[in-house]
Amino acid sequence: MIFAAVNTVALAVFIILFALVTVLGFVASRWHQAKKLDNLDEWGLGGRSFGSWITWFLLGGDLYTAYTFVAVPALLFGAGALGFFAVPYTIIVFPMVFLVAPRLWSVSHRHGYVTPADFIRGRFGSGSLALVIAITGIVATMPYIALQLIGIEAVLKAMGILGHWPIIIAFGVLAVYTYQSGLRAPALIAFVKDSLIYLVVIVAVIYIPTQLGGFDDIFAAADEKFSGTEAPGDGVLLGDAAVLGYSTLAFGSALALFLYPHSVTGVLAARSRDTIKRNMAALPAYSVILGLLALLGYMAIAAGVEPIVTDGKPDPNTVVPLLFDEMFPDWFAGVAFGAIAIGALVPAAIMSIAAANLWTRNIYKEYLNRDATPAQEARSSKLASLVVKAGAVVVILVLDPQFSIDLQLIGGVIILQTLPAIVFGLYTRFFHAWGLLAGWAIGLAAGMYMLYDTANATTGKEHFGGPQYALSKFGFDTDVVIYTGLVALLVNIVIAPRSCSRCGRRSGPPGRTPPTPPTTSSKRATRASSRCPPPRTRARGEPQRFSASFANAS
Amino acid sequence: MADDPSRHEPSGPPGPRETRWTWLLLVPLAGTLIAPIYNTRDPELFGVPFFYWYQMVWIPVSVLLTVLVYRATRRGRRR
Repeated sequence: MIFAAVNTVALAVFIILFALVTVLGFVASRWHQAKKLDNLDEWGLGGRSFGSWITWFLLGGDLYTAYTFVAVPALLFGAGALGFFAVPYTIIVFPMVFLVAPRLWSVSHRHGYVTPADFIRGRFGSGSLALVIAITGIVATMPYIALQLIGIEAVLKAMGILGHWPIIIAFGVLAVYTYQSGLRAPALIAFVKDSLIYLVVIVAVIYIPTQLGGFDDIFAAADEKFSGTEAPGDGVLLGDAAVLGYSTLAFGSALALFLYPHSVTGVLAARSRDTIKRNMAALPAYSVILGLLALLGYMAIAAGVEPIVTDGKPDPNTVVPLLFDEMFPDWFAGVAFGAIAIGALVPAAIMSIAAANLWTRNIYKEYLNRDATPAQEARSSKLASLVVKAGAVVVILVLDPQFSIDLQLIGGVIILQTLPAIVFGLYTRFFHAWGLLAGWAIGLAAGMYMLYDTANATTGKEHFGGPQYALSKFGFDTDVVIYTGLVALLVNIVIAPRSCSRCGRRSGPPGRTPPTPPTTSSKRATRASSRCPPPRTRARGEPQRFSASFANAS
Repeated sequence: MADDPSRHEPSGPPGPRETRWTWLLLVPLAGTLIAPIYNTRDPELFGVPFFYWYQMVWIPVSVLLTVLVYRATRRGRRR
């Protein structure tokens, strides 16, 4: 540990802010009419009672994580325009989710579903598919939590604190109050986090450009940097070969975002369908902040920031904290650092709760203790949330941080493979559990292969070099790249209906009764004997039958 | 974003009127995903290349469209 260059004023402000949210975290258990926290609806979904404002802060804190705030500008710092994909990504995600999320909310509300895998279990009556969806969710979420630690670490490095012990303390405290207060803790802390982030970003984008001679000079500096590098893909504008990769990355990332268990947790904690819809209209306000933050990457170039080198490797994630350190007075740098670090705690808490709920509902209750009482479920989830956080800390301490970044890249591709089951499942009975399982498996395999097969010339990595796959590998004579996850998803969707005609139309494995037997069984029995219906994903009568069957089943 | 009392809205299938409005939600996708139309430096705005400010402009536009669709498809009021 090196204390020589510690910024004491910034550190003091940082610690005060951190102490404030810790108090809030513990107080949260008594907030918003919590009667008792010994069931999963209360602990894991905040009593499904969050109104529009709380949901807005909760989802905002959940989706726009500290890592995003550190990594997106770092990407612009390193690669230029490509990093700006986060803006179209977070613009288009909300109109798309506007259509789907209220539906998922209604079904989950009626049947008491806590996780996306609960929905799959009820919808398809297939324990195997639900298990696969649950495990996919957990695996995709874990590295995301670890990345939040990397966000905190970047801030600490900029303050001059090296070493791992502050992270262990921070996550220890977080683990205790999440255990205590459940989803209410991050919901309450999100208010502080977002107020601070808005304050810091608005000050930063007004103040820093005036110090650097305006945006003209900032973009000129960025231009100069990128024209001086040998890498062909970087620049203030997209190269011709990168255009498709940019759009597909934005589109694929948007499709993936609300499949993550922590997003579903945020949606299901809302009080009503209208709460969700209003939020889909209001959440893009965070995208403004994200877009402005992204430009901080160029400001760092103009300010001549050099990333901190640890273990011989420059850490690009430190550029924004360093820029704050250089530009702001010490006390305000402390506020900025606090904002980023608290910004890491909110999503980390929600993610660990979401992963814990998946564990409890779809593994513990399904396979280990079928007769678990609500209190046992809540206890299992609380303990699991501790394990998940401890796991994330261990991953950061023991493994190369690059490993977490690779895993998160993989996480985006694999969570996309749950889209056909969850989204199509909300609209149609056309797909069958085994077909979806086959699509998931083959889509996953295809995605993993493509990621493995991607080298990165800039970083010198041979495998898992990035989310963009070269079309030339499919035999096209071009340099154009495309988002790997989207290709894998296409493979998945092509496969999913295929096994339908072979195995009839029974919902679930033979001999097993779905837990929510749809009362339209006579209708389905007649269709089971016939051939598969023509492929139509959203025919006119379809949603009606869907809602009717679900309504009757409850 | 005030809360409304309609906690248990009817959740039937969308009517044709609602379906028609939801097409508006595709507009932001078309506006932001066709990158070649905005991958240029000019016209600049306060020194920011078109590529950046064009995409930022879509944020309020998208919000506006979503609010429109939300108001048009809200069911609590009609029943």
